[in-house]
Amino acid sequence: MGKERRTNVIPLPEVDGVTLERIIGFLKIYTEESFQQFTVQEKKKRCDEFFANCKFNDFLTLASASNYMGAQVVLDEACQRTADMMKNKSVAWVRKNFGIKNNFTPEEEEAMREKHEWAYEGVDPDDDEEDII
Amino acid sequence: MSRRVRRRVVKRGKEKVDIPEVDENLMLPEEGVVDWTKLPDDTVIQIFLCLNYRDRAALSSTCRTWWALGRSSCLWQALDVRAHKFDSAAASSLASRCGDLQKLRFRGPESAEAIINLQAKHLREVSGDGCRKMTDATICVLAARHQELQCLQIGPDYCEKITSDAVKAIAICCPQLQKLRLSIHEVEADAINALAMHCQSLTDVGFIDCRKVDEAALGNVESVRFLSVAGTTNIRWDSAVQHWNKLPNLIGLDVSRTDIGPSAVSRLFSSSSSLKLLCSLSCPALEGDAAFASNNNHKGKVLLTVFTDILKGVGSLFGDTPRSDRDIFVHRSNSIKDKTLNEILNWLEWNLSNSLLRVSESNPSGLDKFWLEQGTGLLLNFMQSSQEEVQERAATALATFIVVDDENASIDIGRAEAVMQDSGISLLLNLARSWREGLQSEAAKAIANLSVNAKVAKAVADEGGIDILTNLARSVNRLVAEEAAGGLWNLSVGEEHKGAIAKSGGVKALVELIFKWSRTSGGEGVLERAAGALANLAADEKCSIEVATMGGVHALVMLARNCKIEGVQEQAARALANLAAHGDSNNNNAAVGQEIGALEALVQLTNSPHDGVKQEAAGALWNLSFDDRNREAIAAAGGVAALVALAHSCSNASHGLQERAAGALWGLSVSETNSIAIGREGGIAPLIALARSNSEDVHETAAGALWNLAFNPGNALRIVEEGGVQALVWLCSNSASKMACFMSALALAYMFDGRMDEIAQIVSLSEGPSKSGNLDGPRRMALRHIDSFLKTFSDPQAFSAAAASSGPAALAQVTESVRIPEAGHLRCSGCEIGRFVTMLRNPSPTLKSCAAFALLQFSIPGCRHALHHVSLLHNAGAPRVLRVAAAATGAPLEAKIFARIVLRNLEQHQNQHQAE
Repeated sequence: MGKERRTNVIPLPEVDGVTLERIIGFLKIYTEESFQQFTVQEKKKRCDEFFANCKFNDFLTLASASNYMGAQVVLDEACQRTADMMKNKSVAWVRKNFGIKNNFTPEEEEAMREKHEWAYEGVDPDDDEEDII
Repeated sequence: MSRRVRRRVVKRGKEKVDIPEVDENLMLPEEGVVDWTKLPDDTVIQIFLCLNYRDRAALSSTCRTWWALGRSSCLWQALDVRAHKFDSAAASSLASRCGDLQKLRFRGPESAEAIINLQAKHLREVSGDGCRKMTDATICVLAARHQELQCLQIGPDYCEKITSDAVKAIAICCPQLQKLRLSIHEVEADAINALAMHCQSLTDVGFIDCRKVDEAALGNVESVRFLSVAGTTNIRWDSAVQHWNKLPNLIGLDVSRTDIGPSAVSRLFSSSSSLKLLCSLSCPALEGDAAFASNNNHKGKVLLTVFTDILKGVGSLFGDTPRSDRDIFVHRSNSIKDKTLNEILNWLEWNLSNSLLRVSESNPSGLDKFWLEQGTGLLLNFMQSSQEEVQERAATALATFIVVDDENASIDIGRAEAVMQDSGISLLLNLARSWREGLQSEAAKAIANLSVNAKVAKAVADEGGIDILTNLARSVNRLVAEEAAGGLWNLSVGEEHKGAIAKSGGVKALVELIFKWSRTSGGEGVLERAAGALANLAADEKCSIEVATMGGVHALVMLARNCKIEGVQEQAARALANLAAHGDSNNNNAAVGQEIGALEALVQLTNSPHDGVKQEAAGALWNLSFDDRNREAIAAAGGVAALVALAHSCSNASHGLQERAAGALWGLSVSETNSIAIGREGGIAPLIALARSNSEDVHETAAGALWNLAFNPGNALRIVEEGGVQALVWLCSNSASKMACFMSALALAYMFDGRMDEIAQIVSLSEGPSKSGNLDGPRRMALRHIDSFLKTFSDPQAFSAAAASSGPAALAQVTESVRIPEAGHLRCSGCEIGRFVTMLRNPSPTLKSCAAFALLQFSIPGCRHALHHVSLLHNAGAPRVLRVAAAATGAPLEAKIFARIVLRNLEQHQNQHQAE
């Protein structure tokens, strides 16, 4: 077994070239500090530009990648935009559209329902929803 | 400015346009579904942090990985249960997750009682509102079970049942208390002394909006650095100054909304060595001394009043360092390292925002300058605060201070524009995107109120506000949905925003709101706003199709049938009226009529005690009666009697109501059966009364109805008997509306073309001398006025040119000069056209001209119903009669030329027909 070699390579798991390029492109223009100097309007405009034409799954890759790379602005906005898509949706909807496999037993699901009941109390559950698929 | 749009009944026919389906698949993966559970854990938690508790619950119910992440303790350090029904069962179900809970916000005394079931022993901060009825017992238990409490805030509502005993209990149980803000009846000396004795770290005390506070005892709380008695009454300022100046650590004092005067302030300033800042917004006694109150700086101490430059005053606390005062609250996190100054700013934000909200609620006069120059800027600053309470209050204050007249929903344009100029719209929209429902509803309310102004509405739309409001309208939280629907209501006034709202899925969201909230009580506010927004949207033809496609017809009819709240009924009826206003360009009119119970409900609503409801219901029936089947169904549902009663009762009502009442009768009277029924039910007298109105809109509908009614000779006689000739003659020569003049001339022509005479004879034979007396006088008067009406169109030059030439150009010129554009929207039946054709042979030259004039108007190529009329003219054998009339030697020139034009119109139609 040889000596451990030192290397300058930073591992970026799960980051594809296109995503990497996009984020680097953003970081080239703005630093965290320079971005915070913008007014609310300007920030929104720049984020809208950055996320324009983003497909559903691009948010996943952008959020993951910006997390690994520490690109906070991109990460915050990707999380916010992902969350916006999840608002007021049912469990089934989230599972279907976010490709999540249900690995609970029926008993667990029942127990979970009880745990979560409080969040729906006092307001009407959102009962009619439809898929975006 | 009104939230309403004017209903338009007559619309030119349009091609049916298919609205493109809202593409909900826009965001979908093209490459198939990807597994999102691959996201890093901390990113998932960050997403959780952007969502409310319901969405978090949904997210963590998807799979085990996210379930575990949803229980992460960092998600359970703070809890805001204000939007939830928080009882002991709910609290118990949360207990296992709340071991590390530090911060809790709740609403109402029931929730306060449930807090102990969370078993959150390490709770440090508790803040409650809506606690008017909370008792000492609840506070005592709360304090006893949470001994690590550092901050307790109960307000802003005044808690009438809480006494000094509760304060004592807090003092004894919670020795680590640092911050206490209460709004109660009286704070007695022994309670304050207990605080001084037990709570050595108590630095921030607020007895806000209390009735009475023992000011002398407050001097014993030596640890206090920030004190607020804002809004508290019965303070003896002499004693206060005497005792408070001994407080060794006192830095900031808030005496806003009290009766403090300049002498007490100057004595405080001169005698307290530690005091740096005195906040005194809206203190009349102080402001009475303008010179004193406008001076920022009193021996190195800062006084903040509505007359001083507040930001500059605050800036001066920072010594010599040059800085931009305007951003002092916003950008401090980067620049201010001084802990004390940060504390001061936090305290000041909280107290100033509280006072600004209170001032905005009472909206005293004389503060315009303050709001424009300072208040708006401060509120926008506070909306960016790190304290969520401050953000929320600033948004509420913003929503409040721009409204100057609640009744008419009118806002102060200057203030609205000041908000807009300082990027207030983006700030509000940003808050609305927050997961916190308190922020969402307050921001949405502010956006809704601001959007009454068209300029601001445009800014809201330009900055993506429509999508945000549509999203909020999907919220299951009633307050959020209500404010969002209100925002869409106000935005939908603008023609240019209607399409954008439809595109964002707003129509669907609004229709769903109606289905959702019509099942539950308490949703009236949501229903009124959603129906109001749909009403505005339905005024646009494309959007109206979308409203119908999304099930809006059913939803709105359901409201009209079942809802007992007048505001909701009014908007539902208005929405149905607008849906039915697009005549033959889509099927909505028929669809509304076919909805079970729709017409019955609308007929019922015309009997409402509320004028707005009556008006919109009558308007809806008017629009619906354009459809033949609906017209007869309305009559079958008792519409004739109801509308006649309405016309009777509205002699002193608004023009809008009068117009629609007569309009609905006009619509019904299109069929002769209904006409006869209206005459029999006594509808003629009120219509004649309405014809004497001073509003053109009422003239048109009353004249239209009387014209239809006069077709029937029995009705014609009634009109004469009720004095209708004078009314019609007056309309014909005086109304500013050409349509009203035209239709009253036609009504008079029907009445005196001879058909009535037979009936009149029979009546006078059977009943003796009739009320109508001799018909000759009225007849002469009628003909004279018809004649002078026709003369108003005669242009001797054009007429003689047309007489001399046989070419089409001269005739076209006459057509142009006599044409009444709106008359093209009138649709006549075969009988009516036949009657005018017959009238062409009437011995009276006036009636001859009048008939030719009417047929000319109805057959102008390109008019909406021209084709229909042309075929009726052919059926009635008109061409031959017209040729005779055009050539008759004894007939007046106008009659001949009008007849020639009608002939030419017929030819043009035939040519066109052949060409096709």
